[in-house]
Amino acid sequence: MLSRIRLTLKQHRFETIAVTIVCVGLTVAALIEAYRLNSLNVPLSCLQSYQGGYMGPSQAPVTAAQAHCNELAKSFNDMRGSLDMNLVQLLLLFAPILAGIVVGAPLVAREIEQGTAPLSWALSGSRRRWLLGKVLAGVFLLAPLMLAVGLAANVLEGALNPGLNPYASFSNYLGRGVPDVFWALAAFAGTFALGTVLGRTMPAVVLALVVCFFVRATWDAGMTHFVLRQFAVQQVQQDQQQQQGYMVYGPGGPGNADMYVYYKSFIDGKEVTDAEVNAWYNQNMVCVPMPTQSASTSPADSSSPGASSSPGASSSPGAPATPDNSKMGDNGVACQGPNIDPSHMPQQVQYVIPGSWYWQTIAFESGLLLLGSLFCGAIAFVWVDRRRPY
Amino acid sequence: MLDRVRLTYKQQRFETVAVAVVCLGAAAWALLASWHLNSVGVPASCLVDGGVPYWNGPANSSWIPVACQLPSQRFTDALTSLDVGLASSLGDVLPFFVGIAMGAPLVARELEQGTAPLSWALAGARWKWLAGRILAALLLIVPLLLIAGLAADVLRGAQEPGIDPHASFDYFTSRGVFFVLWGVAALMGTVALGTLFGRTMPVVIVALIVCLFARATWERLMDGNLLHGMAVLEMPGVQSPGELLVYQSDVLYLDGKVYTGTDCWVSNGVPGCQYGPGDQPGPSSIGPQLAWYVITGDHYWRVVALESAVMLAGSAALGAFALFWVGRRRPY
Repeated sequence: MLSRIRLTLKQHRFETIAVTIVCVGLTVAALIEAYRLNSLNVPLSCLQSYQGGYMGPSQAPVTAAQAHCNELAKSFNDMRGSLDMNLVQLLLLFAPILAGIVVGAPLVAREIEQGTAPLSWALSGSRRRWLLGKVLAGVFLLAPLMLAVGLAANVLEGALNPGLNPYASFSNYLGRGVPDVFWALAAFAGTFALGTVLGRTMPAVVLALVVCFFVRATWDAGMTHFVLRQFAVQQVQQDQQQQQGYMVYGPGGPGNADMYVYYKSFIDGKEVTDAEVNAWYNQNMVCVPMPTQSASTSPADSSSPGASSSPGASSSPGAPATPDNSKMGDNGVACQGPNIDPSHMPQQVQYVIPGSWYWQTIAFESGLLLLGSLFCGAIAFVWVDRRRPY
Repeated sequence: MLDRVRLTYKQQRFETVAVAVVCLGAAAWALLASWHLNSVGVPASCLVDGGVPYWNGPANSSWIPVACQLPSQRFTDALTSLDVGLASSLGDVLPFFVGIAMGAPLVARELEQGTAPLSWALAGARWKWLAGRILAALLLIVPLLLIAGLAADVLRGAQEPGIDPHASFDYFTSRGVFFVLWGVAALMGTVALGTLFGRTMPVVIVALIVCLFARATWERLMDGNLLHGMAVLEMPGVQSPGELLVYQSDVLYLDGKVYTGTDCWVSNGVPGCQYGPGDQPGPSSIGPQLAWYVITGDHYWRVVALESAVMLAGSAALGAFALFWVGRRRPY
């Protein structure tokens, strides 16, 4: 069996060397990027207080220490958004699936295509034993390489999000760590199964790329909607407070260690629909025009509770909420919250998979990917015995 | 030549059919996703800067006018749905998939299978043989990618109903004619690699890596070199929908002029202020800010033409290299 594995790696030497170079190079690149970020030693507080290049009018004077803090935070953010960092992150995302396809596609298909399969089958004694040797060679090549890539991706994730424990957070959890190994194995198994069925390398590559794109793109949503939904628990206040230390900085803004699954809305302890919550806010929120240059609504538009600005007088998303429970848009419309006990206001309860369940979730999803891989492998083993040798 | 084109399709029937199905499927999907978004029917009066206000839950979206809340909520649901999300991301992968799938076996398979010498002898000249094959691939992928690219433009228009996608730089290199340009560049690059390597799988591997790098670096290279001179200064607080932010100024601006005061400064691109007592700006002023150099949406076609020319020149160079190399390489 060992000779067969060695022979397989030799037969596919270009793919073997290419995948090895890319994976080792990517691992080293990810570790270097993580080291560069860590060596900046930016305090977490600097990242939390940094507001980008914008200085608000009400911002307190910037002290020399704060200015230094801002410079550190900017250099951190610049490095995060740099071209090399983006390239490494992009490659980390695609590497497992591409490696699986590249190794899996020619495994069976090339021998059938080149007409060498019948001789190999005859020499091996059994087609299944022949396929087993080739599959083991692929697994022995991919598993350690992908584990190295996944662990390096974990280190990079920790460096990109200071204060975040990558092993207790669902931030980008399917693109790093152990799942990388199982993505690669799933892509590998699916592709060599396609190669066995089709018997041609390029068609196997083309189909595998399409299938893998869809599976990867729909996996998160599918898992969240159909599988993890039943395991989600109500997010507790303690978790929310703990997550203050797990701020994830990036283009998407602060993130969470917990995996958000769904939410429910309540008014006075009774579960309500979104439409009912909207109706509540429309009844109780008062919107008035502010005396600024850009205000475009007349006072009459919003003189009574429930009235709001004219349709054109809306403001941009994310208008900041003022401390007295009011919100102001950038075109001069302010909405004042009701003067009622906050406990009677609509409450939104989030249902999440807590970050502390990281390993259970990883084990579960990896198990599903492994099952899929075994299923594809089984198809290949059944099919290789029955297929024409050309 | 027509026979050679027909023969190429027949030889590569799997790739031809797959590319046609995927492109037409992607176009149909993008149009369905657009219909999904358009069917919400957000009134024009609800748009903010050409886009539909993002619904961020009732507690955080009460600033949206009452008449616009339900459309905003439904539109946000549609925008974040899986079908729209997937259709939007197709622009980043489809042209490369098409270019590599058609280009990789074009030369490499004939060399691999040992049929190239016969084909070359029958064609009269190697370059003529390759030109016929490249022409066949171009005749197939250009119209298909144009259809998919235009469908992606329609989808972008549906995502931002108040902005003309042909006057907006939002994701402009992932839609429209860029589908064709990326696809042709990927095809030419892959054919050139095929004539060099003469093996299909190595060509696919190297082409995937090269395309990934080219796509990831393109916008930065363009912004940093080609578009740098075209950008004009835009004062802080001013914004036009669909503009392209090229680079940030290194001085502060206040009230439309360069800030000359001493209370605020820029250090390593980070602004800071140390106001003296009584010097703080009033609540209606945003204070001195950094400005951006931008290209506004009305220069869309000029920028597209410029980038298209660069990409087509690159594709032509790769094609020329392939035509040159195929005449000199060993036939195995």
